[in-house]
Amino acid sequence: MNSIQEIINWSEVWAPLIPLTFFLILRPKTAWTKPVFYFLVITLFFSICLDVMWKRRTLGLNDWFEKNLWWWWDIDRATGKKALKNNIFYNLNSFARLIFFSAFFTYFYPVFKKIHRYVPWIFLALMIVNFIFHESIKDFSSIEHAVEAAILLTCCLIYIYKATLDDTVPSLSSQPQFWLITGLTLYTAINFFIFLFYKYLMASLRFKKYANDVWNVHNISFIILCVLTAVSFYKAKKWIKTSPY
Amino acid sequence: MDKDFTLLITLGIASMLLLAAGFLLIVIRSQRKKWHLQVQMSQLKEQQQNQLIEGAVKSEEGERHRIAETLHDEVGAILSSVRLHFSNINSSQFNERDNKLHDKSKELLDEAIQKVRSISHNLHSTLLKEFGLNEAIRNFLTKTVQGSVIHVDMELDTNYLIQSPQMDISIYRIFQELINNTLKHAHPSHITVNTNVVNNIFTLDIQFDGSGLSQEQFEELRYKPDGLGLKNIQNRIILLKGNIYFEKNNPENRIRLTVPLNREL
Repeated sequence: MNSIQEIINWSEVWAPLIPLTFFLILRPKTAWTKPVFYFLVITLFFSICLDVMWKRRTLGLNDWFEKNLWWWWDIDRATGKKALKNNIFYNLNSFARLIFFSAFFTYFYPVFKKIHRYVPWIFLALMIVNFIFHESIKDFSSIEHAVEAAILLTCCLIYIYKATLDDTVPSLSSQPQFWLITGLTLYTAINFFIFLFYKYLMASLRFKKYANDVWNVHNISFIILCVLTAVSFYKAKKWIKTSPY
Repeated sequence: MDKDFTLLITLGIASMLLLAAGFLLIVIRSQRKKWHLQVQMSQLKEQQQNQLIEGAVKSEEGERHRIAETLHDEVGAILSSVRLHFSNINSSQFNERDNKLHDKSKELLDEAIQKVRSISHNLHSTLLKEFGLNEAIRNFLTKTVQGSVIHVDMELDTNYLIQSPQMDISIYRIFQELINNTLKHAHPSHITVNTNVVNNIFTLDIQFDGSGLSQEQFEELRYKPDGLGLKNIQNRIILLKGNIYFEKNNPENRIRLTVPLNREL
């Protein structure tokens, strides 16, 4: 049971390696795969940082962190003890996810170009204001994550709506990007409520166990997203062979 | 209180998951249904278009037969009768001038009889029905270039077996139209005609010198109101589910017709 828990805990690191391996082996030439690839690289970097910080004791790196990153340590509000928070990487990852996936959507319908041109920057400006005046960037930002999930979920729904109106599409599942969009729809839908309440769950000792359980759900949905991204890359490679587009 | 709060979050997550998954499933199913309906509709449209073309081609063929029979049985018979009466005229008492006129008239009458026979045979597909496509092509080409300086080479695949009469007639009519157009517009000095059957696909290749027609020009011309011949070619090709390619590459121009065999028309 513990080993399964460990695998799920580290899923944010190993799961992006699945689509990244597919991308590097297949090298799909479809343009939309590029922003997704960049996102996967960045998310892998952030995930390694945050998981290494989290598992520093198991990895025997606690002393190193205490010695070299002493300025990063904080007092945990729930326990009142000294703690090294890795949430900044989650906050940065959330913004990266929004910017790269909104770039990914621009390859399909013109409406996404407008969304990509304005929404991420408005979002960034609001987040800067939020982190200066309201929340600390070292804390997990439920607002940022929930808003980001809502925007991406809306993008997914717009895409699906437009695709159903498109008479030239024979079947949604035959399009390589559809698999990735399915993964993203499920990921954002499942995690919207998780993100919305996660900060409050983490802040209270009473909900600590529930918060950990609910984060497992997040990790499983992230694995699904990564697997479906790999399917998309695989289909994108086949798509090139049979279609000029 | 704590339990209610966590239950509420769990319910929220579960309902979002169900909503998203349900939405995706409904969208995929309805989109697939819509696509099937569209395919069915386009098939029906195509079927209707083919029926219209088939009707037009059949009525055209019927009209050709009617004209051919009228020419052969009525005009031809009258001309033959005139020729008989003309031969019975006693020309021994004619002076030299009248004799010359008599001979010239007889010659012109023979030519007219020959022309009527030739037109009637071209319009009627008796030769095609009796001896097959190869013989009809050979006969038509030989007769068409007879008396001209055009050099003709023919290599016809003997493996071609008679398909349905409709198919043979359509291929033959396309060939006639293509040769007539080539002679009229390209002014060739050399024509090569090849046919072959490979993997159940019949290919007719017409190569000629002179001024050719490119695929773009063909596409443009067949939509012009006066391009009846090209329209007929296109209609018959749709009916045959075949393809035609024009290649303009002076002095070697090429027209290639491909038709899938073993299908019911």
